Amino acid sequence: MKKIALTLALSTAVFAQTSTAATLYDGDGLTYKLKGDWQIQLRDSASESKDPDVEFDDLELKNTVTYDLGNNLQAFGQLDFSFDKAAENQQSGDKLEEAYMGLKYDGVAFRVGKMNTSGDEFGVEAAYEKPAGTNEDQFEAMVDAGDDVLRVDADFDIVYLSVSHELESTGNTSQGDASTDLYVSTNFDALALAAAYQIYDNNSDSWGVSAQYDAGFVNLGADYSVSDIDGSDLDETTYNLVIRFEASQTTDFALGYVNVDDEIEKVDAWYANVSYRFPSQKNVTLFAEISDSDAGDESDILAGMQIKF
Amino acid sequence: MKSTHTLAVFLSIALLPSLGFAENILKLDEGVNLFAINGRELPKGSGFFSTKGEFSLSEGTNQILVSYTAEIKNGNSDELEESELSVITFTASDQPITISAPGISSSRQIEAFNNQRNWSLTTPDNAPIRYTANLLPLQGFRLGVDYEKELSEFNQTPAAAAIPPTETTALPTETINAHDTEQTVILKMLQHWYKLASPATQETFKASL
Repeated sequence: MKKIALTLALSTAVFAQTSTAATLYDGDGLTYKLKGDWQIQLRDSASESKDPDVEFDDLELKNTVTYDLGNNLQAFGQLDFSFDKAAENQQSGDKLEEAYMGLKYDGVAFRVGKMNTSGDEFGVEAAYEKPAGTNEDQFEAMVDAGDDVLRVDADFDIVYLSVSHELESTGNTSQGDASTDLYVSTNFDALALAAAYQIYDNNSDSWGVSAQYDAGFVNLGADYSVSDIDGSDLDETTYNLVIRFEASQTTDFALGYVNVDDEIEKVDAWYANVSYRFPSQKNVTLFAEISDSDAGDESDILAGMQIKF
Repeated sequence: MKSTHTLAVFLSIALLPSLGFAENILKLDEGVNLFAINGRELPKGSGFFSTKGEFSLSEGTNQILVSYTAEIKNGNSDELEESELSVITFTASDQPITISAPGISSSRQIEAFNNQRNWSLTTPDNAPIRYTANLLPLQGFRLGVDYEKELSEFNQTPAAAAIPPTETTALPTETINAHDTEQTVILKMLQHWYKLASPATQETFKASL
Protein backbone atom coordinates (compact mmCIF):
# COMPACT_ATOMS: atom_id res chain seq x y z
CA MET A 1 0.00 0.00 0.00
CA LYS A 2 2.85 2.30 0.81
CA LYS A 3 4.40 1.59 -2.57
CA ILE A 4 1.25 2.80 -4.29
CA ALA A 5 1.18 5.86 -2.09
CA LEU A 6 4.79 6.49 -3.00
CA THR A 7 4.08 6.35 -6.70
CA LEU A 8 1.13 8.71 -6.33
CA ALA A 9 3.19 11.12 -4.32
CA LEU A 10 5.94 11.14 -6.89
CA SER A 11 3.52 11.60 -9.75
CA THR A 12 2.35 14.88 -8.24
CA ALA A 13 5.87 16.24 -8.27
CA VAL A 14 5.48 17.44 -11.84
CA PHE A 15 3.02 20.11 -10.78
CA ALA A 16 5.66 22.65 -9.96
CA GLN A 17 4.29 25.92 -8.62
CA THR A 18 6.89 28.35 -9.79
CA SER A 19 6.17 31.94 -10.66
CA THR A 20 7.87 34.30 -13.01
CA ALA A 21 10.75 36.02 -11.33
CA ALA A 22 10.52 39.78 -11.86
CA THR A 23 14.11 40.38 -10.81
CA LEU A 24 16.28 40.47 -13.93
CA TYR A 25 19.55 41.44 -12.31
CA ASP A 26 20.79 41.46 -8.75
CA GLY A 27 24.42 42.07 -8.01
CA ASP A 28 26.89 44.54 -6.54
CA GLY A 29 24.10 46.44 -4.81
CA LEU A 30 22.04 46.91 -7.97
CA THR A 31 18.62 45.32 -8.38
CA TYR A 32 16.73 45.69 -11.64
CA LYS A 33 13.15 44.49 -11.79
CA LEU A 34 10.78 44.43 -14.71
CA LYS A 35 7.15 44.32 -13.66
CA GLY A 36 4.11 44.04 -15.86
CA ASP A 37 0.37 44.41 -15.54
CA TRP A 38 -1.47 43.48 -18.72
CA GLN A 39 -5.20 43.16 -19.04
CA ILE A 40 -7.37 42.63 -22.10
CA GLN A 41 -11.12 42.22 -21.95
CA LEU A 42 -14.07 41.65 -24.25
CA ARG A 43 -16.64 44.17 -23.06
CA ASP A 44 -20.21 45.06 -23.84
CA SER A 45 -20.39 48.38 -21.99
CA ALA A 46 -23.37 50.02 -20.36
CA SER A 47 -23.88 52.29 -23.36
CA GLU A 48 -26.47 51.10 -25.90
CA SER A 49 -24.77 53.12 -28.60
CA LYS A 50 -21.56 51.11 -28.31
CA ASP A 51 -21.04 47.64 -29.74
CA PRO A 52 -19.01 45.01 -27.85
CA ASP A 53 -15.32 45.85 -28.01
CA VAL A 54 -11.92 44.47 -27.15
CA GLU A 55 -10.63 46.83 -24.47
CA PHE A 56 -7.18 47.23 -23.03
CA ASP A 57 -6.52 48.13 -19.44
CA ASP A 58 -3.15 49.04 -17.99
CA LEU A 59 -0.81 47.19 -20.38
CA GLU A 60 1.92 48.51 -18.12
CA LEU A 61 5.62 47.79 -18.09
CA LYS A 62 7.39 49.02 -14.98
CA ASN A 63 11.15 49.31 -14.82
CA THR A 64 12.38 49.51 -11.24
CA VAL A 65 16.00 50.05 -10.27
CA THR A 66 17.28 49.98 -6.70
CA TYR A 67 20.82 50.74 -5.54
CA ASP A 68 21.96 49.73 -2.09
CA LEU A 69 23.92 52.70 -0.74
CA GLY A 70 24.89 50.97 2.49
CA ASN A 71 23.90 51.74 6.07
CA ASN A 72 20.32 50.67 5.28
CA LEU A 73 19.97 53.46 2.70
CA GLN A 74 18.67 52.76 -0.79
CA ALA A 75 18.24 54.86 -3.91
CA PHE A 76 15.41 53.84 -6.21
CA GLY A 77 13.70 54.90 -9.40
CA GLN A 78 10.80 53.70 -11.52
CA LEU A 79 9.65 54.28 -15.07
CA ASP A 80 6.16 52.98 -15.73
CA PHE A 81 5.01 52.86 -19.33
CA SER A 82 1.39 52.17 -20.21
CA PHE A 83 0.29 51.13 -23.65
CA ASP A 84 -3.47 50.82 -23.23
CA LYS A 85 -4.28 54.03 -25.09
CA ALA A 86 -1.88 53.10 -27.86
CA ALA A 87 -3.59 49.71 -28.16
CA GLU A 88 -6.95 51.46 -28.47
CA ASN A 89 -5.55 53.44 -31.40
CA GLN A 90 -6.11 56.66 -29.48
CA GLN A 91 -2.50 57.78 -29.70
CA SER A 92 0.57 56.88 -31.67
CA GLY A 93 2.86 55.93 -28.80
CA ASP A 94 3.07 54.90 -25.21
CA LYS A 95 2.07 56.85 -22.13
CA LEU A 96 4.35 57.49 -19.19
CA GLU A 97 2.31 56.70 -16.09
CA GLU A 98 5.02 57.09 -13.48
CA ALA A 99 8.54 58.49 -13.47
CA TYR A 100 10.16 59.07 -10.13
CA MET A 101 13.29 58.68 -8.08
CA GLY A 102 13.89 58.71 -4.38
CA LEU A 103 15.72 57.54 -1.31
CA LYS A 104 14.63 54.98 1.21
CA TYR A 105 15.88 54.49 4.74
CA ASP A 106 14.52 51.55 6.66
CA GLY A 107 10.72 51.85 6.33
CA VAL A 108 10.65 55.49 5.20
CA ALA A 109 10.81 56.46 1.51
CA PHE A 110 10.91 59.88 -0.08
CA ARG A 111 10.38 60.26 -3.81
CA VAL A 112 9.96 63.03 -6.35
CA GLY A 113 8.42 62.98 -9.81
CA LYS A 114 5.35 61.83 -11.69
CA MET A 115 3.30 59.42 -9.62
CA ASN A 116 0.05 58.70 -7.81
CA THR A 117 -0.73 60.94 -4.86
CA SER A 118 -1.22 59.54 -1.35
CA GLY A 119 -5.02 59.70 -1.62
CA ASP A 120 -4.83 57.02 -4.32
CA GLU A 121 -4.12 54.53 -1.54
CA PHE A 122 -7.67 55.02 -0.27
CA GLY A 123 -10.62 52.79 -1.08
CA VAL A 124 -11.99 49.24 -0.99
CA GLU A 125 -13.70 49.09 -4.39
CA ALA A 126 -13.06 45.73 -6.10
CA ALA A 127 -14.47 46.12 -9.62
CA TYR A 128 -12.45 45.45 -12.74
CA GLU A 129 -14.25 48.40 -14.35
CA LYS A 130 -16.12 50.89 -12.24
CA PRO A 131 -19.85 50.95 -13.04
CA ALA A 132 -21.13 53.76 -15.30
CA GLY A 133 -21.38 57.14 -13.62
CA THR A 134 -19.47 56.16 -10.47
CA ASN A 135 -16.06 56.88 -8.95
CA GLU A 136 -13.85 54.54 -7.03
CA ASP A 137 -13.96 57.15 -4.27
CA GLN A 138 -13.80 60.95 -3.94
CA PHE A 139 -10.01 61.06 -4.19
CA GLU A 140 -10.16 59.31 -7.54
CA ALA A 141 -12.99 61.70 -8.51
CA MET A 142 -10.92 64.81 -7.63
CA VAL A 143 -7.21 64.11 -8.22
CA ASP A 144 -5.09 61.03 -7.53
CA ALA A 145 -1.94 61.58 -9.60
CA GLY A 146 0.35 64.38 -10.69
CA ASP A 147 3.50 65.34 -12.59
CA ASP A 148 5.22 67.40 -9.87
CA VAL A 149 4.68 65.28 -6.79
CA LEU A 150 6.79 65.07 -3.65
CA ARG A 151 5.77 62.11 -1.52
CA VAL A 152 6.83 60.45 1.72
CA ASP A 153 5.72 56.94 2.68
CA ALA A 154 6.46 55.61 6.14
CA ASP A 155 5.70 52.03 7.11
CA PHE A 156 5.91 51.49 10.86
CA ASP A 157 4.51 47.94 10.81
CA ILE A 158 1.35 48.82 12.75
CA VAL A 159 0.79 52.17 11.08
CA TYR A 160 1.33 53.17 7.47
CA LEU A 161 1.53 56.89 6.75
CA SER A 162 1.74 58.63 3.39
CA VAL A 163 1.92 62.35 2.66
CA SER A 164 2.15 63.90 -0.80
CA HIS A 165 2.14 67.36 -2.29
CA GLU A 166 1.82 68.31 -5.90
CA LEU A 167 3.39 71.61 -6.86
CA GLU A 168 1.44 74.19 -8.80
CA SER A 169 4.43 74.64 -11.14
CA THR A 170 3.08 77.87 -12.55
CA GLY A 171 4.74 78.84 -15.82
CA ASN A 172 5.88 75.31 -16.57
CA THR A 173 4.34 72.86 -19.00
CA SER A 174 3.10 70.73 -16.12
CA GLN A 175 1.39 73.58 -14.26
CA GLY A 176 -1.88 72.86 -12.52
CA ASP A 177 -3.65 73.23 -9.22
CA ALA A 178 -1.67 72.17 -6.20
CA SER A 179 -2.90 69.38 -3.98
CA THR A 180 -1.85 67.96 -0.63
CA ASP A 181 -2.82 64.46 0.49
CA LEU A 182 -2.56 62.58 3.75
CA TYR A 183 -3.30 58.87 4.09
CA VAL A 184 -2.98 56.74 7.20
CA SER A 185 -3.87 53.10 7.79
CA THR A 186 -3.51 50.62 10.59
CA ASN A 187 -4.23 46.96 11.26
CA PHE A 188 -5.68 45.23 14.27
CA ASP A 189 -5.34 41.55 13.46
CA ALA A 190 -7.93 40.96 10.73
CA LEU A 191 -9.31 44.50 10.83
CA ALA A 192 -7.75 47.23 8.67
CA LEU A 193 -8.75 50.84 9.17
CA ALA A 194 -7.77 53.80 6.99
CA ALA A 195 -8.42 57.51 6.67
CA ALA A 196 -7.44 60.10 4.08
CA TYR A 197 -7.60 63.85 3.66
CA GLN A 198 -6.95 66.00 0.61
CA ILE A 199 -6.75 69.72 -0.05
CA TYR A 200 -7.07 70.36 -3.78
CA ASP A 201 -6.52 74.09 -4.33
CA ASN A 202 -9.33 75.89 -6.19
CA ASN A 203 -11.31 72.64 -6.37
CA SER A 204 -12.22 70.84 -3.17
CA ASP A 205 -11.39 69.55 0.27
CA SER A 206 -11.99 65.80 0.63
CA TRP A 207 -11.83 63.26 3.40
CA GLY A 208 -12.67 59.61 3.74
CA VAL A 209 -12.63 56.62 6.07
CA SER A 210 -12.58 52.91 5.30
CA ALA A 211 -12.62 49.56 7.08
CA GLN A 212 -11.87 46.05 5.91
CA TYR A 213 -12.27 42.84 7.83
CA ASP A 214 -10.58 39.67 6.66
CA ALA A 215 -12.34 36.61 8.05
CA GLY A 216 -10.31 34.16 5.99
CA PHE A 217 -12.56 32.86 3.26
CA VAL A 218 -14.57 36.08 3.24
CA ASN A 219 -13.38 39.69 3.24
CA LEU A 220 -15.73 42.58 4.04
CA GLY A 221 -14.99 46.19 3.16
CA ALA A 222 -16.66 49.58 3.32
CA ASP A 223 -15.55 53.13 2.61
CA TYR A 224 -17.09 56.57 2.73
CA SER A 225 -15.56 59.68 1.23
CA VAL A 226 -16.89 63.20 0.79
CA SER A 227 -15.73 66.30 -1.10
CA ASP A 228 -16.58 69.82 -0.12
CA ILE A 229 -16.57 71.50 -3.53
CA ASP A 230 -15.06 74.99 -3.60
CA GLY A 231 -17.59 77.72 -4.41
CA SER A 232 -20.55 75.43 -3.85
CA ASP A 233 -22.80 74.60 -0.94
CA LEU A 234 -23.11 71.07 -2.21
CA ASP A 235 -21.03 68.11 -1.08
CA GLU A 236 -20.25 65.11 -3.23
CA THR A 237 -20.08 61.73 -1.54
CA THR A 238 -19.17 58.20 -2.57
CA TYR A 239 -19.50 55.06 -0.55
CA ASN A 240 -18.66 51.45 -1.30
CA LEU A 241 -19.67 48.16 0.23
CA VAL A 242 -17.70 45.10 -0.86
CA ILE A 243 -17.74 41.44 0.02
CA ARG A 244 -15.21 38.99 -1.35
CA PHE A 245 -15.44 35.22 -1.14
CA GLU A 246 -12.54 32.88 -1.57
CA ALA A 247 -14.26 29.84 -3.04
CA SER A 248 -10.96 27.97 -3.40
CA GLN A 249 -7.25 28.67 -3.70
CA THR A 250 -7.87 29.51 -7.34
CA THR A 251 -11.27 31.19 -7.43
CA ASP A 252 -12.51 34.44 -5.88
CA PHE A 253 -15.89 36.13 -6.08
CA ALA A 254 -16.57 39.79 -5.32
CA LEU A 255 -19.84 41.63 -4.87
CA GLY A 256 -19.96 45.38 -4.56
CA TYR A 257 -22.35 48.25 -4.15
CA VAL A 258 -21.44 51.84 -5.02
CA ASN A 259 -23.38 55.00 -4.27
CA VAL A 260 -22.42 58.41 -5.61
CA ASP A 261 -24.44 61.44 -4.53
CA ASP A 262 -23.70 65.06 -5.42
CA GLU A 263 -26.93 66.29 -3.79
CA ILE A 264 -28.39 66.91 -7.26
CA GLU A 265 -28.26 63.43 -8.68
CA LYS A 266 -27.82 60.12 -6.92
CA VAL A 267 -26.36 57.07 -8.68
CA ASP A 268 -26.72 53.54 -7.32
CA ALA A 269 -24.65 50.78 -8.86
CA TRP A 270 -23.61 47.21 -8.14
CA TYR A 271 -21.13 44.77 -9.62
CA ALA A 272 -20.22 41.11 -9.32
CA ASN A 273 -17.08 39.48 -10.60
CA VAL A 274 -15.28 36.17 -10.53
CA SER A 275 -11.54 35.67 -10.83
CA TYR A 276 -9.74 32.40 -11.57
CA ARG A 277 -6.01 32.11 -11.05
CA PHE A 278 -4.18 29.24 -12.65
CA PRO A 279 -2.74 27.15 -9.84
CA SER A 280 0.49 26.58 -11.70
CA GLN A 281 1.01 30.33 -12.22
CA LYS A 282 -0.80 32.69 -9.91
CA ASN A 283 0.35 35.52 -12.18
CA VAL A 284 -2.34 34.59 -14.73
CA THR A 285 -6.00 35.40 -14.04
CA LEU A 286 -9.18 34.87 -16.03
CA PHE A 287 -12.09 37.04 -14.96
CA ALA A 288 -15.65 38.01 -15.76
CA GLU A 289 -17.79 40.82 -14.42
CA ILE A 290 -21.29 42.19 -14.67
CA SER A 291 -22.36 45.55 -13.33
CA ASP A 292 -25.43 47.72 -13.44
CA SER A 293 -25.81 51.41 -12.72
CA ASP A 294 -28.56 54.01 -12.69
CA ALA A 295 -26.30 56.00 -15.01
CA GLY A 296 -26.04 53.27 -17.65
CA ASP A 297 -28.36 52.24 -20.46
CA GLU A 298 -27.92 48.56 -19.77
CA SER A 299 -25.78 46.13 -17.82
CA ASP A 300 -22.04 46.28 -18.39
CA ILE A 301 -20.67 42.79 -19.12
CA LEU A 302 -17.03 41.89 -19.61
CA ALA A 303 -14.66 38.92 -19.56
CA GLY A 304 -10.94 38.97 -19.89
CA MET A 305 -7.48 37.90 -18.93
CA GLN A 306 -4.84 39.52 -16.78
CA ILE A 307 -1.14 38.79 -16.51
CA LYS A 308 0.92 40.28 -13.71
CA PHE A 309 4.59 39.76 -13.18
CA MET B 1 22.25 -16.41 -8.05
CA LYS B 2 25.62 -15.53 -6.63
CA SER B 3 25.66 -12.32 -8.59
CA THR B 4 22.25 -11.48 -7.17
CA HIS B 5 23.47 -11.93 -3.62
CA THR B 6 26.56 -9.85 -4.34
CA LEU B 7 24.36 -7.11 -5.67
CA ALA B 8 22.06 -7.41 -2.68
CA VAL B 9 24.93 -6.98 -0.28
CA PHE B 10 26.17 -4.00 -2.25
CA LEU B 11 22.74 -2.42 -2.15
CA SER B 12 22.31 -3.10 1.53
CA ILE B 13 25.55 -1.27 2.23
CA ALA B 14 25.48 1.54 -0.24
CA LEU B 15 22.27 2.23 -2.01
CA LEU B 16 18.84 1.23 -0.89
CA PRO B 17 16.97 3.86 1.09
CA SER B 18 14.23 3.16 3.54
CA LEU B 19 10.97 2.25 1.88
CA GLY B 20 8.97 3.73 4.72
CA PHE B 21 8.62 7.22 3.20
CA ALA B 22 5.14 7.04 1.74
CA GLU B 23 3.92 9.74 4.12
CA ASN B 24 6.92 12.01 3.61
CA ILE B 25 5.13 14.58 1.50
CA LEU B 26 5.71 18.30 1.26
CA LYS B 27 2.59 20.41 0.76
CA LEU B 28 2.84 23.98 -0.49
CA ASP B 29 0.55 26.61 0.94
CA GLU B 30 -0.78 29.34 -1.35
CA GLY B 31 1.92 31.54 -2.85
CA VAL B 32 4.82 29.24 -2.00
CA ASN B 33 7.04 28.44 -4.98
CA LEU B 34 9.20 25.33 -4.86
CA PHE B 35 12.31 25.29 -7.06
CA ALA B 36 14.30 22.29 -5.87
CA ILE B 37 14.24 19.36 -3.49
CA ASN B 38 17.47 17.88 -2.17
CA GLY B 39 19.57 19.62 -4.77
CA ARG B 40 17.41 18.64 -7.74
CA GLU B 41 15.56 21.32 -9.67
CA LEU B 42 11.90 20.70 -10.41
CA PRO B 43 10.56 20.75 -13.94
CA LYS B 44 8.36 23.66 -14.97
CA GLY B 45 5.24 23.94 -17.03
CA SER B 46 3.35 20.80 -16.07
CA GLY B 47 -0.01 20.57 -14.43
CA PHE B 48 -1.49 23.70 -15.96
CA PHE B 49 -4.93 23.23 -14.41
CA SER B 50 -3.75 21.22 -11.44
CA THR B 51 -4.21 22.42 -7.92
CA LYS B 52 -1.68 19.86 -6.70
CA GLY B 53 1.04 21.22 -4.56
CA GLU B 54 2.47 18.04 -3.09
CA PHE B 55 5.95 16.68 -3.48
CA SER B 56 7.70 13.62 -2.13
CA LEU B 57 10.49 13.95 0.43
CA SER B 58 13.17 11.62 1.66
CA GLU B 59 13.01 10.10 5.11
CA GLY B 60 15.38 12.09 7.30
CA THR B 61 17.15 15.27 6.33
CA ASN B 62 15.72 17.26 3.41
CA GLN B 63 16.72 20.50 1.79
CA ILE B 64 14.35 22.61 -0.31
CA LEU B 65 14.66 25.84 -2.27
CA VAL B 66 11.57 28.04 -2.05
CA SER B 67 10.28 31.57 -2.48
CA TYR B 68 7.00 33.27 -1.69
CA THR B 69 4.89 35.39 -4.01
CA ALA B 70 3.06 38.09 -2.07
CA GLU B 71 0.38 40.49 -3.17
CA ILE B 72 1.58 43.97 -2.30
CA LYS B 73 -0.97 46.77 -2.25
CA ASN B 74 0.15 49.68 -4.39
CA GLY B 75 -2.47 52.39 -4.56
CA ASN B 76 -5.69 50.83 -5.73
CA SER B 77 -4.01 47.87 -7.37
CA ASP B 78 -2.08 44.85 -6.19
CA GLU B 79 1.39 43.98 -7.39
CA LEU B 80 2.97 40.57 -7.16
CA GLU B 81 6.29 40.66 -5.39
CA GLU B 82 8.49 37.63 -4.93
CA SER B 83 10.64 37.08 -1.87
CA GLU B 84 14.28 36.14 -2.06
CA LEU B 85 15.03 32.44 -2.43
CA SER B 86 15.31 30.54 0.84
CA VAL B 87 17.22 27.31 1.34
CA ILE B 88 15.45 25.39 4.10
CA THR B 89 16.75 22.27 5.78
CA PHE B 90 14.58 20.10 7.99
CA THR B 91 13.90 16.53 8.97
CA ALA B 92 10.99 14.51 7.61
CA SER B 93 9.72 11.66 9.67
CA ASP B 94 6.98 9.69 7.96
CA GLN B 95 4.35 12.46 7.94
CA PRO B 96 3.12 15.20 5.60
CA ILE B 97 4.65 18.64 6.09
CA THR B 98 3.03 21.89 4.98
CA ILE B 99 5.16 24.94 4.28
CA SER B 100 3.61 28.38 4.44
CA ALA B 101 4.64 32.02 4.80
CA PRO B 102 3.23 34.67 7.11
CA GLY B 103 0.65 37.12 5.77
CA ILE B 104 2.51 39.71 3.71
CA SER B 105 0.85 42.77 2.22
CA SER B 106 3.55 45.46 2.11
CA SER B 107 7.06 45.95 0.78
CA ARG B 108 8.32 46.39 4.31
CA GLN B 109 6.82 43.06 5.35
CA ILE B 110 8.45 41.24 2.46
CA GLU B 111 11.81 42.83 3.36
CA ALA B 112 11.32 41.68 6.95
CA PHE B 113 10.45 38.20 5.68
CA ASN B 114 13.64 38.10 3.62
CA ASN B 115 15.64 39.03 6.71
CA GLN B 116 13.86 36.76 9.16
CA ARG B 117 12.95 33.87 6.84
CA ASN B 118 10.14 33.04 9.26
CA TRP B 119 8.62 30.24 7.25
CA SER B 120 6.19 27.88 8.90
CA LEU B 121 6.65 24.13 8.52
CA THR B 122 3.93 22.15 10.24
CA THR B 123 2.55 18.65 10.52
CA PRO B 124 -1.17 17.90 9.93
CA ASP B 125 -1.86 18.50 13.64
CA ASN B 126 -0.16 21.92 13.38
CA ALA B 127 2.94 20.86 15.27
CA PRO B 128 5.88 23.00 14.11
CA ILE B 129 8.81 21.35 12.37
CA ARG B 130 12.23 22.71 13.31
CA TYR B 131 14.26 23.99 10.40
CA THR B 132 17.22 26.13 9.45
CA ALA B 133 16.98 28.64 6.62
CA ASN B 134 19.36 30.84 4.66
CA LEU B 135 18.94 32.99 1.61
CA LEU B 136 20.47 31.52 -1.53
CA PRO B 137 23.09 34.10 -2.52
CA LEU B 138 22.65 34.90 -6.21
CA GLN B 139 24.69 37.45 -8.09
CA GLY B 140 24.12 38.78 -11.59
CA PHE B 141 21.41 38.08 -14.14
CA ARG B 142 18.50 36.06 -12.83
CA LEU B 143 17.43 34.57 -16.14
CA GLY B 144 18.25 30.91 -16.64
CA VAL B 145 19.74 30.40 -13.19
CA ASP B 146 21.13 26.88 -12.68
CA TYR B 147 19.68 26.20 -9.26
CA GLU B 148 21.30 22.79 -8.96
CA LYS B 149 24.72 24.39 -9.43
CA GLU B 150 23.90 27.23 -7.05
CA LEU B 151 22.71 24.79 -4.39
CA SER B 152 25.80 22.66 -4.85
CA GLU B 153 27.97 25.72 -4.23
CA PHE B 154 25.77 26.76 -1.30
CA ASN B 155 26.26 23.36 0.27
CA GLN B 156 30.03 23.91 0.27
CA THR B 157 29.55 26.89 2.60
CA PRO B 158 29.24 26.82 6.40
CA ALA B 159 25.67 28.25 6.21
CA ALA B 160 23.27 26.77 8.75
CA ALA B 161 21.00 25.30 6.08
CA ALA B 162 23.87 23.87 4.02
CA ILE B 163 24.20 20.11 3.85
CA PRO B 164 27.60 18.66 3.05
CA PRO B 165 27.43 16.77 -0.26
CA THR B 166 27.80 13.40 1.42
CA GLU B 167 24.55 14.02 3.29
CA THR B 168 22.42 15.35 0.47
CA THR B 169 21.69 11.83 -0.72
CA ALA B 170 20.22 9.79 2.08
CA LEU B 171 22.23 6.65 2.67
CA PRO B 172 20.35 3.38 2.43
CA THR B 173 18.94 1.69 5.44
CA GLU B 174 17.01 -1.07 3.73
CA THR B 175 18.57 -4.46 4.09
CA ILE B 176 18.27 -7.12 1.47
CA ASN B 177 17.29 -10.30 3.17
CA ALA B 178 18.96 -13.56 2.29
CA HIS B 179 15.64 -15.15 1.39
CA ASP B 180 14.66 -12.35 -0.97
CA THR B 181 14.03 -13.63 -4.43
CA GLU B 182 15.78 -12.15 -7.41
CA GLN B 183 12.60 -10.34 -8.45
CA THR B 184 12.22 -8.90 -4.94
CA VAL B 185 15.71 -7.47 -5.11
CA ILE B 186 15.07 -6.10 -8.60
CA LEU B 187 11.88 -4.49 -7.34
CA LYS B 188 13.74 -2.81 -4.51
CA MET B 189 16.37 -1.60 -6.94
CA LEU B 190 13.71 -0.13 -9.21
CA GLN B 191 12.10 1.62 -6.30
CA HIS B 192 15.46 2.90 -5.13
CA TRP B 193 16.53 4.34 -8.48
CA TYR B 194 13.08 5.78 -9.12
CA LYS B 195 13.28 7.68 -5.87
CA LEU B 196 16.78 8.93 -6.58
CA ALA B 197 15.79 10.16 -10.04
CA SER B 198 14.80 13.78 -10.57
CA PRO B 199 11.09 14.42 -11.23
CA ALA B 200 11.89 15.01 -14.89
CA THR B 201 13.70 11.69 -15.14
CA GLN B 202 10.83 9.99 -13.35
CA GLU B 203 8.40 11.38 -15.92
CA THR B 204 10.65 10.29 -18.78
CA PHE B 205 10.85 6.84 -17.27
CA LYS B 206 7.09 6.55 -16.82
CA ALA B 207 6.51 7.72 -20.37
CA SER B 208 8.87 5.02 -21.64
CA LEU B 209 6.82 2.20 -20.11
